[in-house]
Amino acid sequence: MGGYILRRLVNSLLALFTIATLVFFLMHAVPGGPFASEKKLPPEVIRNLNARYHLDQPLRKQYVDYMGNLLCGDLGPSFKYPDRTVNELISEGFPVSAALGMAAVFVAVTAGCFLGVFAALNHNRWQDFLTVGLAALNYSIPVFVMAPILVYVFSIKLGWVPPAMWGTARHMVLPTLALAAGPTAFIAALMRSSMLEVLRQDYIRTALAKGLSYRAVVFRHGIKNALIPVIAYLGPMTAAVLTGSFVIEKIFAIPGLGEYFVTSVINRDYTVIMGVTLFYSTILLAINFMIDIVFVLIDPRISLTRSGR
Amino acid sequence: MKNTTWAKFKRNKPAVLGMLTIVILVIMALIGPALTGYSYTEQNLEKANLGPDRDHWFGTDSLGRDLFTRVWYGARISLAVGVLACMVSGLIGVAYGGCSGYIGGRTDDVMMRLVDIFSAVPFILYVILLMVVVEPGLITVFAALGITGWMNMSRIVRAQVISLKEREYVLAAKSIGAGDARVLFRHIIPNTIGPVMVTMIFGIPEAIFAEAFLSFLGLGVSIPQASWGTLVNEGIGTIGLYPWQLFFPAFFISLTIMAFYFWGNGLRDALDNY
Repeated sequence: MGGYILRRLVNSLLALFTIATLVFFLMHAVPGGPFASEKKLPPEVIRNLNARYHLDQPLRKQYVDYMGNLLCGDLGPSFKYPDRTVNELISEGFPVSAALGMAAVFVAVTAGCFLGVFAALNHNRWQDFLTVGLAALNYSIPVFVMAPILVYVFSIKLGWVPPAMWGTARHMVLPTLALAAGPTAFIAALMRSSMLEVLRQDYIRTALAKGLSYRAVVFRHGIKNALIPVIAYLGPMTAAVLTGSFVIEKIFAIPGLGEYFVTSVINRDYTVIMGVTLFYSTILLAINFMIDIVFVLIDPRISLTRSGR
Repeated sequence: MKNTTWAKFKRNKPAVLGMLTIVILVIMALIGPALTGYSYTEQNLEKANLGPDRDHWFGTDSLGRDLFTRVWYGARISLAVGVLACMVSGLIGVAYGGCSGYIGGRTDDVMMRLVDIFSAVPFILYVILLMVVVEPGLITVFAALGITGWMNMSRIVRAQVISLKEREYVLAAKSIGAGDARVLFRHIIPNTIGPVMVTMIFGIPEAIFAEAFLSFLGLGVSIPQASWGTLVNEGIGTIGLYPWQLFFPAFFISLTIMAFYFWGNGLRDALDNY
């Protein structure tokens, strides 16, 4: 177990290092440098800017400095907003994004599991077909289409919740639902097929034969075992919620990290792009690392020696 | 073998429906822009923001451009990006996964470790990074999608190759003196065609989705070209007043993704156990 955790940790750190290196060299391969823009700056201004951000130094030194600063958790200054650092932007935007993301994950897992179990228990009846149909429909609607549809129906036509901005709990409703829609559908489908599979197992028949009530069998034996594929999906889901938040925060004008990232991409603010990408990668790797450990702890059938990832 | 697969596939109604939908969408993408007599760039400010009527079947946008023409022109771009990006990533994935699985041993370990490292981050982040560095445009979009989307394919091909390379016919080919490259590319890889096709069909909507995502963020195709992502983005701004400007492109994106999804599912089931 210890060896497994260590190997997973080394793997994650290696991944982070590779991504940091890749990001660094990609951003320095930009033709014309970071200050090239439509309006021509005088050459001495460019020279001063380059000196200020140490861009005049040899690439190797810049790389070593950047990696060194990364080790200390310093992501550097923003190129476009000279008085802001990337760390400040992240500490401002991330709490908002994290609140939104966690709300969406919570909704997706609860609603998805509930719908999946509901469909499986009504296998081949209309409840089942309805759930499967809704899941397929939800799965095919991209998040940037789902969001405006929700806004149109629930704020513009019905006027129940505000269409955009951030602040109160009412503001959270639509962005959370829009972000959670796809993962909910996926979890519902996953939970349904996994529950159907589990209910066919011998130990379920044994439990029923012992005289346990159907309800107890479903809750104690069925759902617990059927949850395993859902836990495996938590990693990809975090990634989906994260990329989905770029679009959602843009549509709803939410001041989160996704919104900063999109703005920095449009402004070509290279240090912010690098910093936020690395920050996202770290979060994803950390979450995947935790999920892998939880996974091994709850499912003794998984052998430690074979799992490379 | 081929016939039983096809017979099984034909019995799966949603899958056949999905495939037919894609065929119709492709035909419409080819002829649709020519049906109305308007071009996708033709502006007519006197006829801006019209609802669907006899002249403009899907209405017009805020510059008076015919939405029917633009939606099918967008279909051309979106479908072309989806298919081409998928072919690029498919080729890279097949070659990479094939070599990794065939060589085996330490090389395989290292190659697959690299895939693990690259796929630790969602590929859309790499695409965004690439699109920031290079000039945006149609060709860069599918190049970026192609060179970042091959990881999944390489894993699937590798698993196939590992199970196929111990077969008798491979031994037979080797014993009559075929070289490694010939054995791998002429004898083993053609036998992985089933899973490869399924992965490709699932990959196309993913690429369409990614392109729409990029266009939505302003990193995709450049104006006046329009993909479904650009059209949805334009439609969101006017959703309160002219909802059809969002509705039509949004509907066709969702329809395409769903059709590919059912088609892929049906094909996977049909290939599953022959």
